[in-house]
Amino acid sequence: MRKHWLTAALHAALALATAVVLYPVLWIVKIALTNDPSASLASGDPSLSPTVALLSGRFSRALVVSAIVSLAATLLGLVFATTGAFALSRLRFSGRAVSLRALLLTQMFPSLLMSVPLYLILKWLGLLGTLSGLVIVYSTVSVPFCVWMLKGFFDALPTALDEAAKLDGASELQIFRRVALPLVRPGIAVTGLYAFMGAWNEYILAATFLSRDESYTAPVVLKSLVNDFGAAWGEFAAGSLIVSVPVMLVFFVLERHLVSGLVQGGVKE
Amino acid sequence: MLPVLLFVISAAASPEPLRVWHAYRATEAEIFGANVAHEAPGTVVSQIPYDNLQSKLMQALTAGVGPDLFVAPHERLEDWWRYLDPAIEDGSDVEVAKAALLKDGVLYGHPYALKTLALIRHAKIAPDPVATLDALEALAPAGGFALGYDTSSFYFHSPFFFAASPELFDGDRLAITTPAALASFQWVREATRRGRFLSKGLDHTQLVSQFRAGKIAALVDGPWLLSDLDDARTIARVQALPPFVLDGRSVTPRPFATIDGLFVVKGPRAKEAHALAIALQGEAHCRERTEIARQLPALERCRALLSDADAPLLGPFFDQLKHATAMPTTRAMGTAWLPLKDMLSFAVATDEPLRVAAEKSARAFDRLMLPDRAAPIWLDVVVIAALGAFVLWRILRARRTASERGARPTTVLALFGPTAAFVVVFLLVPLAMGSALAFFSHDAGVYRWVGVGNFIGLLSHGAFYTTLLVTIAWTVVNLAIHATLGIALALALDHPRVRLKRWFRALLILPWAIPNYISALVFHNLFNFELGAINGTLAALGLARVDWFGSFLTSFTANVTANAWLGFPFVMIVTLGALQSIDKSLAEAMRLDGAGAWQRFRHLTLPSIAPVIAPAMILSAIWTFNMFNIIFLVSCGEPRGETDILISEAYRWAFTRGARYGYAAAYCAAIFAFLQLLTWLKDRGAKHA
Repeated sequence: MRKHWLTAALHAALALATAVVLYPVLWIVKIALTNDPSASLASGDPSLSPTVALLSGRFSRALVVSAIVSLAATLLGLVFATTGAFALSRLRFSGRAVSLRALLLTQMFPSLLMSVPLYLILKWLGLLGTLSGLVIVYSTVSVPFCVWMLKGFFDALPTALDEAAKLDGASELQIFRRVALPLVRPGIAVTGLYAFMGAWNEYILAATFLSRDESYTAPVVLKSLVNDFGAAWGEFAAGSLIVSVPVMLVFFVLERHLVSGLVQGGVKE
Repeated sequence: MLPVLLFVISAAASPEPLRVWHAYRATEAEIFGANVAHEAPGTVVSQIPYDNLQSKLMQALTAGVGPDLFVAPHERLEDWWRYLDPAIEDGSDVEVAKAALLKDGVLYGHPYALKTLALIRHAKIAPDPVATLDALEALAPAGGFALGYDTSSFYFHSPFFFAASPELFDGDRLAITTPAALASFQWVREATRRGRFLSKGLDHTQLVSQFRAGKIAALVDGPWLLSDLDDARTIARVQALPPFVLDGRSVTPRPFATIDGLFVVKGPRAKEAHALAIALQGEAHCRERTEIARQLPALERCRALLSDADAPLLGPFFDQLKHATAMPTTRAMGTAWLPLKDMLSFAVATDEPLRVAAEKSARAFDRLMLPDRAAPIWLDVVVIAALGAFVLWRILRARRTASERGARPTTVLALFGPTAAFVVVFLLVPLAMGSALAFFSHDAGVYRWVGVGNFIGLLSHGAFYTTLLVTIAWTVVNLAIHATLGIALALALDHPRVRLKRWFRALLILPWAIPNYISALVFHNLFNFELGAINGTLAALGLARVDWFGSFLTSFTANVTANAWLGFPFVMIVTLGALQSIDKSLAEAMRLDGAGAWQRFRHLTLPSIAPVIAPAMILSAIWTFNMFNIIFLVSCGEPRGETDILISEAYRWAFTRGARYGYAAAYCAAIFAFLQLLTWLKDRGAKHA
């Protein structure tokens, strides 16, 4: 009898939590479909016109730009992080401890502080306002993050594998390429997903560094639908959904793997 | 790899055409873009998100990479004029507009459009012009209001302020403590409490939807409202703001007039840009600007060209300009918005004496206007030497305790070199530069050494410590909630008797997938006084509505709720992962030994998940400490900046209080130092444990 109570209570708690989580999401769906920002979920006449208006404008292009920028930032992050993470995990060299500390240190500086100097650096490089410039800016966020996560994945690989490869005469570089890299592939996928999400959802840096309509990312276009003098809430809500749905789908599919990176990345120092 | 990637991405770039920036939206943006394309084909027109226009202009102009021409409200002229090419020829015939763009007798821009406030009546509820504002009271619709304006913004309150008191500034000081100035605040306080006379807590969007629904008889609003109402011609009637009774005498409202100027940036393209500006200003574009964009051109001649349908809608705004106050362009004005907003929210939300609040706001204003002061050189030397010695000592100690050797230098270079190079160039160098900014004072692109002066300014003011305390409370409360909710839900999801696990799990992580600037905007609206779902629910339950952003505790609660909503899934997922790695047979064995559920949790589950959750919580703590979007978009720091945390304060110093990068950098350094202290304490704690 007690068991039944417990089961019922657990389900009730989960259902309540889900309802609380879902209300804001459903509200966005409702605004997108009715163009009516009142609180009730049932008011307003359904219409696809905000969605159509949004997609026929610059938003479609911005989605493509967002995808390109986010992919490039992810790739750049992974390229610069994978070897480094392996080195920090497997090689012993002077400066390793300091590097690890420095990496953590960069996470504690507010990115606000970074934006003024990065602006100047990109100007010197002639990359201000370009998408490549934004990719570099995003990489300053994704590289340390990817190094941190991937180091966790490399740490989790048993050292016996390296020892065996070493006995066969493999160099560190070969161990990296032939042994470690193939084994952390799932880790790379998860890390990449987070890096992608970070760039895909980013707004302030994109608004600061981009200044041409055709290079705007989706969040910038979305935010420019809203200002002090009024807002196209229907379009804003439709855009919010379009931006969020791909990430939701990936989460839904990869949800089991999502956690592995964070757990492994976290457990070992 | 990098060069190739960069080349591919930037291949689309071509030689630079004329560049124009604006922050218009919807039809205003369309018409502006079309007119520019018509007058100067090939020009690149960029729509900047409104909230970012000022900060972007500041950064771009100081770095010399701004547009050739931009349209912006004139009130920040003080920040730009150094970079502008004065307008020799001026095409406007509206005196208030030209006067507004003058600085030291030089005209810095072409008046383009005007923004001011008038009375917009609902055609069905208040079909005829009213002789006084007070006459509206009798027209209040059932369950609605007679009059509506955004009482959280001094801009919308300006007609009433200037009706009571002619001057906002007295020299360098904010003149809001005089009896005349207090009168308008007293008026708005009483008006919101006078039955259904004046709306409370509705922002612009909500006012519009209420007006459209026939719940408000008249709005104090601008011409932009007409473009938001597709049926403006049938439901809206416009008149200049009529007089109202204040302290027993009749006074006339005098709203702010802001001028959208076309500003030409100095440079080789200035001549072309001036030509384009003059063309855009001209009568040729009157018709579509008024008819479609619902813009009020800064050209009285346009009034004659209004269509018969538009003349009664836009014409009265030209009348209103005769009783308007040109918004000052001084830095004082730019700085005054926040203290004024605080004063206003104080008047609307509380019953405490107004004079005290006015003095507080005036003091807050004085502090914001305080120039960065240099510290004595000896202090700079002492502090910097001490800092250097500390860092050196740490490095030496780190080298002694952790001298690791083993790997061949070439291998290290090959594997770690690229990462290290990237981190140094794009992370450590900007960080060093950014930190160095804390020792300088920035004014219009010129940096002046002030040494530790910024830090002295920061540490010698009580407000910093209040903000620090709020930030700590914010972080602790959030972490506690994230941990409790995340772990509890993970335990529930891990329970063997729970069905539909996959579905619950997938739905519960949704908040994580939604960009947080969107969630924040959603929560801001959920907590709205009049229309938000939360107050709607309270009202449905028979409880009183709560003015969420009116007091510290409720506003803080709103922020925490929003952050809890989007933050718990992370802890939940991490905990779930850890739970799944626990050996189930152990729990079973404990159960057979007679251990209860709590004992099993206390002695098996908790110890097993703790090592996984701890690092996740640290990450979560750092994120929360710097969670800018929630503070900035949910409570917006209200009331009176009390819910601001360090990072949002830093942002305000950098971008909304006149580009004081040095002061902002000092805030960031304080954040960094505090987080360092925390990790150091944690490490020590871990060593002792």
